[in-house]
Amino acid sequence: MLFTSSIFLAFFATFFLLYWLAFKNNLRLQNLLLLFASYVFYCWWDWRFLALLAGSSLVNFLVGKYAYRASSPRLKKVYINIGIIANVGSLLFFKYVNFFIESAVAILSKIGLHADPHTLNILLPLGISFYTFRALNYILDIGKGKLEPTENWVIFFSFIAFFPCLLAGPIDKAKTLIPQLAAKRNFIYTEAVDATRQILWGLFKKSAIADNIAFYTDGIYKTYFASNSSTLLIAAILYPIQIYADFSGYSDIAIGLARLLGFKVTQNFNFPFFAQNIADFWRRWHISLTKWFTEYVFTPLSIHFRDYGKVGLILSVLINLTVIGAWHGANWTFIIFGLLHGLYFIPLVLNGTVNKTKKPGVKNWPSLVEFKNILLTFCLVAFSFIFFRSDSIANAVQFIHRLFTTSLLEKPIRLSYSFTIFIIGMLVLEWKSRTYDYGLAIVKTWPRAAQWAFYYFIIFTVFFFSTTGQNFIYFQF
Amino acid sequence: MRKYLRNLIIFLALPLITGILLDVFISTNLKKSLTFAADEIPVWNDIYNGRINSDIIINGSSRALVHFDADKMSRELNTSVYNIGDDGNNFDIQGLRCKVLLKYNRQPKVIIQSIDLAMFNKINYMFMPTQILPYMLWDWDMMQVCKHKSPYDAADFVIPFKRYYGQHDVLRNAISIFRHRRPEHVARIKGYRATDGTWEQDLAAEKVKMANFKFGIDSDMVKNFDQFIIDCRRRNIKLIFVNTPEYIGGRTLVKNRAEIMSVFKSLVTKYRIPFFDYSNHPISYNQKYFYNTVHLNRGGSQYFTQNFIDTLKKTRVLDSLLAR
Repeated sequence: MLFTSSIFLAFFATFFLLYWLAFKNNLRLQNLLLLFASYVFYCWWDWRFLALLAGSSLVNFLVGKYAYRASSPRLKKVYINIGIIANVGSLLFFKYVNFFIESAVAILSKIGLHADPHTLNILLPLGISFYTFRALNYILDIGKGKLEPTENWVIFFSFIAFFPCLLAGPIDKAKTLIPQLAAKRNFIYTEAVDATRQILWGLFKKSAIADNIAFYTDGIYKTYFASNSSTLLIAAILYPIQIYADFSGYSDIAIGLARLLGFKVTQNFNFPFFAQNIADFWRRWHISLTKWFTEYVFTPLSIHFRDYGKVGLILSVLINLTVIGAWHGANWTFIIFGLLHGLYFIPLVLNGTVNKTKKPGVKNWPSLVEFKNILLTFCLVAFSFIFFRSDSIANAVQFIHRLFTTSLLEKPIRLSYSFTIFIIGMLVLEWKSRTYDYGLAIVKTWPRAAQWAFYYFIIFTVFFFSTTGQNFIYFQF
Repeated sequence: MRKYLRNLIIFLALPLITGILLDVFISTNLKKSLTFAADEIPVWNDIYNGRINSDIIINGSSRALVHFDADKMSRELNTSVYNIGDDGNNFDIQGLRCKVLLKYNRQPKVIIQSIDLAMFNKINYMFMPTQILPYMLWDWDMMQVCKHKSPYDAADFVIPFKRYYGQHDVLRNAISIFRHRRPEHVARIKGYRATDGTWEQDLAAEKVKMANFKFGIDSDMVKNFDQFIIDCRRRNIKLIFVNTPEYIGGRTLVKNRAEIMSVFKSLVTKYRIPFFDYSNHPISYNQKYFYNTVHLNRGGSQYFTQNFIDTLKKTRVLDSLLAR
């Protein structure tokens, strides 16, 4: 049940009407409906892992409860560690066990020892990386005394399985979402209108841009060995735009749906392609994940290494970003992707500009210096995404090797005019909206007739330029 | 909440109305095309508009489409012949075409069924799905057959405009047809489409690729075919089965060929249907008549059609069938 499918439209419309018309005055029933809908939504994808989702919710609910009530700090620590082991363990098992076995076998064979690899046939449960991180945040915050556990299982189970954000985030913190689940929600007209606008923008980015770019990038990455350099360059430029349009499109729809239900969830993207440097990029890209890792990985590491000055900081950044890379999946390509970003940080750490945040300006167009910085950051990001997109490091290296040949001057693959216009249009509109939360927000300042005309244009573009059945890229993580 | 719903409905009313009008615009213009969806539109038009009204109908897949020159047959047999062969589709769509044809046209006296090995192979997608776009809305016969075939679902047959989702090329085609900008030539004559060209298949590579290749024999589809034969008999429509030429070098590509042929042969025996098998005819031994193992080129199809006409005349099969 993709957000872009007609079956989801029917599902959400039914749920929405029941949620606001039938159950509006009974919070418990409203939450029960939300939980039921979340489980139906999850089962629609793959019912086999519903037990894992519910089991994970139950374990974390009990661990949180008992840890909070523990009679001594030592016992509390035991409970928290049980929670961490259960969450990290299930993530490692479902996501990385084969990767570890295969990597160990490869290393052993390098040193002349031959092992018989026996990998397990494990399916990756959808959304596991996201709901496990949500659960971990709950347990860790209880452990740190930052959060009181909820006594209401419906609220907690709904927090873990909250369907707008279940499959690919944003990874909301327990202290943000649980209080909203515990409080009565009110339908606010202006908020709902803005949420609908945000959903429309997400649909446009996903359907009109990401899915159509995928047609090109999938083909080129599959046959990179037979493509000329100029075509590979096009693919290298297009892929970051595709993944951004895909994931931020998904996030806009997810956030918009949550807003329609009366929830405020974390912003996941803040126009990352206008970042002035790589640190700025990570403050704008997949924000909920970056914040999670900053709090639970980077900060403890930087405290641990604080005696080593800048070297300690570099080490913390390198480890943090490598782990973020590995979070994406069991492949060395993701680890290299993260490591590369860590390396990009080193000059910023050394010249002390890593924490400098520049507030978005209100100028119509970027200055020459800003433009240069944006371009340089984009090039670095695009380069790293070659590893992210490739099936193996060897493929990525060959892709890069083929990228720099004399065929760079040859004619590249011809892109459709309409998609090129859509991409440019998206970037221009996002630049204009950069002081808002999402790309279409600027339109609300336009005259009513222009607004409606533009919405209709987007609706028809989404309708005619969609491709059926293209999954969201981040569902695989 | 009510204000939001009311305004949402008002906001969506315009695209919904425009959608319905666009549906009419696109469908109307696509129906004017001679080349859209690999030339299938003129045939569907003839079927739906009751313009076929022929004594002999040739039904089948691409092997029917490119092998039987209906115009030549009309002239030489002195009767009306139309070829409704449909590229790439199995008996699901072939049967549908016959059903719709019988609904909107005078009943034919004879149906020549071109048989092939993929006829009972169940596939969950439709080959050249755009061919039914202008006709499918509220067509329940079509819905029964195609609703489980990708890319369509039942809603596409019920909700106006939905089936044009993601079809920007179709919209562009419709606009282009509306503006008469695309030069079109008539590719199919009485449904027959000659294919120019010489042998283009790497047989050695095919043999490697299809080392264990088998076509499915779906029991439901065999049952449907059986029912089709019974319906034809009930309506007093005579049937002739033809296995048109297959290049001898490709005869072993499909490993369960004998099994599939035995299904046809058992039906032939059961219902005493005249059956002409060209698989061992001299034409099947000559590569110059083919562009791949199962399709004759223009020269091959002309040779085959003439031979088939001569056989029909010589054996007086048509006369004896029509006299029954």
